[in-house]
Amino acid sequence: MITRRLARPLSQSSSSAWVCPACIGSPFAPRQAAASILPQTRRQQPQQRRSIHHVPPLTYDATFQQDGIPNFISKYGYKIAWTEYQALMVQKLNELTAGEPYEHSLTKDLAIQFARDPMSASLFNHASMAHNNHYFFSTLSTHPSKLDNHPSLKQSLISTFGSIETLQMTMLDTASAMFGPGFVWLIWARDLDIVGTRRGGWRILTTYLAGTPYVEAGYRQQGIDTNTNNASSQSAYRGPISNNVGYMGQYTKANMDKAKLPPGGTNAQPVLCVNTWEHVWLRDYGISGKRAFLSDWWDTVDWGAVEQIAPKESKGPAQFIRY
Amino acid sequence: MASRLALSKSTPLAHLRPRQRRTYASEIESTYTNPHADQQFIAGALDGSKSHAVQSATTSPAPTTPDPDQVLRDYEFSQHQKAVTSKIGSTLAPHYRPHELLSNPPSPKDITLELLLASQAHIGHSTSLWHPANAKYIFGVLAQTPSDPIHIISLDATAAYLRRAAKIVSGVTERGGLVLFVGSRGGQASTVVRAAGLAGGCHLFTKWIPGTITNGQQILGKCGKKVVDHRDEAVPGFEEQLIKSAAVKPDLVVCLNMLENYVLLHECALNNIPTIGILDTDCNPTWITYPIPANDDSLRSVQVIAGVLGRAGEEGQKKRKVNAARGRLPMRQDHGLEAPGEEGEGVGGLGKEMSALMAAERFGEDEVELEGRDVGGEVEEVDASLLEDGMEAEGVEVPYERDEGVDIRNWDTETGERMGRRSEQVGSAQRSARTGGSLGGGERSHVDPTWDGETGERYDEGGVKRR
Repeated sequence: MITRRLARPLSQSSSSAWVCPACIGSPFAPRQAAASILPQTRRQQPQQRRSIHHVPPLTYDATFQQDGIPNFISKYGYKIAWTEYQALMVQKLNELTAGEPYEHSLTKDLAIQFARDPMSASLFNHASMAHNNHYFFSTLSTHPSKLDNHPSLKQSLISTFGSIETLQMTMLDTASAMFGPGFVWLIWARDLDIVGTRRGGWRILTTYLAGTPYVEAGYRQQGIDTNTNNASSQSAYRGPISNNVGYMGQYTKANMDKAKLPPGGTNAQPVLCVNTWEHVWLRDYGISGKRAFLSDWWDTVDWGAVEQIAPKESKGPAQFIRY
Repeated sequence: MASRLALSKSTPLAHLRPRQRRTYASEIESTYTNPHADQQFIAGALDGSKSHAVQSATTSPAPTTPDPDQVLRDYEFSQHQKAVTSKIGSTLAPHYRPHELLSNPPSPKDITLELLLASQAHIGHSTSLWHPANAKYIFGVLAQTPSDPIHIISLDATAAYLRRAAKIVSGVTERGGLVLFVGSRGGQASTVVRAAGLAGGCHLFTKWIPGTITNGQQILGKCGKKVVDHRDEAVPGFEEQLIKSAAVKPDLVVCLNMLENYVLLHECALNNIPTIGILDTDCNPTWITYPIPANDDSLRSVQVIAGVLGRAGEEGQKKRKVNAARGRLPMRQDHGLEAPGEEGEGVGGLGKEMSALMAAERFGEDEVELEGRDVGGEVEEVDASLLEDGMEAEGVEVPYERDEGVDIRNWDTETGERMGRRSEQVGSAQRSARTGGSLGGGERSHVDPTWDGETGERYDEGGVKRR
């Protein structure tokens, strides 16, 4: 089945022209006989459109292609997980955004814009996946820096988690417990509930499949496995439903006056993530090697890159969130 | 017992028996203030978390001045997050962003045929609407529909003329000239404002009031004027002279829509103000001094051209400021001002009205010079007032060297006129066009970029000084 978002005939936009048998002959994928009005040469000409999205360059891409990521992923696994998979995501992005007014939008902006549009689910998925996959590979390097070399970041993490071992255990156990592909994130989140303070703290977040960690697209965070939850646990996950009439709730004058976001600002900065999709670790660790993959990942994280991504206030004095 | 009962009946007299005073609920209610009276509501989540008493859910919290450090932290956080996350996901190929033509306009060095083509600068009008004098700028005819062929402007001509115009604008601003950017079509307001801001000039995006130059004293008479020195700092002491002085005229006019501004261009031609204009295929090239053959109907092409000229003006301003800081000033400074406190007699006692009338008279004096010419015939006699070498016959050296402050050496005390006098408000401004036998809006190059500031000698064969 093809997604409804494609309003153009499939043969025009995609180079991979597979169409499910039920859709052949529909207006979206006309048979070749109907399309033979076009001259033969034109039909056989490959798509000459200049692409707008390109695979982003990784700093150590050349080394990774030759030798793989040391002590982590081989060069064949890297080829699958990054070179081919990111190219696939970018190609799908180009196909889905070609000719549209948002064709020059960034992947993050696409994810936020289409988080609540089920007709654009495919576009959201590919944009978010491209974004998350690049996030994962941006914290890997040939000579990773240890966390001990970044004392302010380490101290900040210890303040929240108690110890680095606890942080490691929490992240890796969470990732192991996730059944199915997804990502596990370490996020710096700012607490905006109380006006005048911006107390921030570290949080660990799970996103199944291509869920996004950004709060603006929270509708598609996909933080829990909906198959193992019922309505009440899901609503508890989503948070308490507040009354939208009367003197309490988000539409009262008091709450409307409260700034939900700082001026021009945001409230979450993802800092580190691990990609638990099978195609990343299947070739090197085997079908039952998820645990080994995760522990190897923890040893390979480049904490220097993490420190650069982390915001300045997360590396300062300790901050607590109290509930 | 009876006494107690008696007491209970006589309540008003209770104060007489303090030992058996009773307190009544009404008394307590009237005097008691509940310390928790403000806490009317308990806010919080359904499961009891985050519960805290609030004074009132309907009143907004007392407005607190935002902590400046917090605002800075918020800003830094959001900027960092934007910078980090926008690069992640995919790399976007360079593409056209409309706002960048205003926020970061292209420079003269960025002029390429690709840029002009992408900005639709080559698209002309229907062939039936063309002006035949533009034939040399036209590349050919595009007939997508046989009923409506259009002309295509040759982009190498566009590029060449645009580069020349940029040089002119930068040359004028380098010598302290005033450039006026005019664009009265819809959407051109922000363009001209931005270009004028870069070049340190003036802008106009509404209708040109006819007579703003030819009848300037009437239309601009109430506008403020000031005298600035080479460092662009206001110089006090010229207030009286400014009241008498004429209204300011621009030294160069850039017009983005020629067809709608005929009156402006005609006035500039009458006053020998050079004009640069975007020449579409249906425009009359004789209306302007320096054409830029390009499409004036596309906002994108207009923004590219105006942006380039604005950037050129910015470069000229930068050079002027560098020169001024080093003390290298433009040579001719015909501002027509006297040093404050050295005014001639009979001037100080004039009222404001008389001064304004005298200013109007002096404004028209430029016309007097024109009347001296033999219209239609060749110019053989040049009016004496036009000759800058009026003093040369007496052997006085013409001051082409650097000026230090107000120069009154060429002040003719007899006639009370300055040689080649012209009312200039800006201290080091130079007029880029002169009277003296010029045909209005002629082909002469008014600003010579090869002017040598050191020797400053530019003589014509006929002995008449030229700029």
